[in-house]
Amino acid sequence: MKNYHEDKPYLSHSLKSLDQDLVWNKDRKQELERKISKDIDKHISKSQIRKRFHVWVPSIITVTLCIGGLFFILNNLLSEKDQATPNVETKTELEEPILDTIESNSKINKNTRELLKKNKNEINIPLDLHNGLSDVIRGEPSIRVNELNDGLGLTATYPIAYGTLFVSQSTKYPNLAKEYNEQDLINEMISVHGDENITVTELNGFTTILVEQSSDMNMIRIYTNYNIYTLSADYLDFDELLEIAKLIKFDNGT
Amino acid sequence: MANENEKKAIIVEWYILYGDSIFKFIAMMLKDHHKAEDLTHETFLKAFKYFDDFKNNSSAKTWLFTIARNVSIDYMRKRKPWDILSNIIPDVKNQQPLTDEILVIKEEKTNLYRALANLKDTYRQVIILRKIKEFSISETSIILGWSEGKVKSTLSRALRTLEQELVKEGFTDEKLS
Repeated sequence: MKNYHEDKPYLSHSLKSLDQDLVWNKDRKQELERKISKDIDKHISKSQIRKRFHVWVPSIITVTLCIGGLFFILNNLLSEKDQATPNVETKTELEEPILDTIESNSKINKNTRELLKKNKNEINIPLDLHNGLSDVIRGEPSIRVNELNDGLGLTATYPIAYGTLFVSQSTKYPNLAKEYNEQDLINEMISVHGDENITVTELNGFTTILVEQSSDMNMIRIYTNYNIYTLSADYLDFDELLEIAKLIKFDNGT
Repeated sequence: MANENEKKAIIVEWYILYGDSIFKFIAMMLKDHHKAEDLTHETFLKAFKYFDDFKNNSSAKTWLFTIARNVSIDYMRKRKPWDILSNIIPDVKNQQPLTDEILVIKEEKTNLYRALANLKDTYRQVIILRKIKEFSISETSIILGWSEGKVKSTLSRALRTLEQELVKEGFTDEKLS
């Protein structure tokens, strides 16, 4: 039996050349290449964050528990020996990492450095995420700090794969819980961002509002009794922002 | 195993080599050029995500076409209710122009393109892969997930139907043969 297309050379030739006779707009092809490249980068960035958290967070928890355990044992031993001098040395040791971070950051000026040192005990947001999440966060943060009437305004802006990760802490509203109820805070956010872009949840027992600012940018805001924490980033989803938020040293609300 | 950046470099390389061909394949399958760009994008992102599943049993081109065919079929299945509606309202179906700012077709090929577009999905797929993209029977059977026998028999029926469609479009039997 003869092959069908051998009987129809014109049809066969026409079909063969159809591919060349269709012309895809060159600009659109290049634009799609850029989009694919960008979306692959986003995918890489997200999977690196997830991987990092899977490795890094349990390690931190383990180390923290070990240090906590040692501290507890040491404290008990010391208090048995001399109850009058229990904590002084240990407290200094705990303050050192934040001082090291402040000293080593090359992006901050002398005044900011002095302000940070002065307020080191008030700093709750992590200033060294670039050390633990170096695959995702592309360098040390720029830091802005303001002394407010009742506390501190602090912002760390980290470079990430696409854009920036913004982490801030504000004690602008002292005793927040007493002045506002949860619904007031939610209503305030709804009035700014619209009901459809707001989700209310909890982190460490504190009211947390998830705000979809645009298709590429999400923000979360956490209200504790003395602080407001805000995290926002380009191309990070809420789960990733919440994982970073868990690294905040939350005030205990007392 | 390639790391993420190496995978990205390979995918971008594949896009440069096969992106054009994949886009045209999807465009001919869907008859919707905007959507064809979206699904080309989806094809290459899926290739990146599932890169480790690529076992070199087939060529990269065959593997990419398999993904492109699957994303197109998924899309066509979802679109089915709308197709039924557009068959009831014929004007809606004809709104998609043959040539637009995305894809330009040489004038002498518009009849063939239109006739191909009028074929049922399975006929269109097998003609595109075997006759336009010139995949072998074995490669076509991998991409479509059919037996080689089914590829041959469906192709034969598909070509006859295409010929009838072309005659409807004004081609004479003499010109075709």
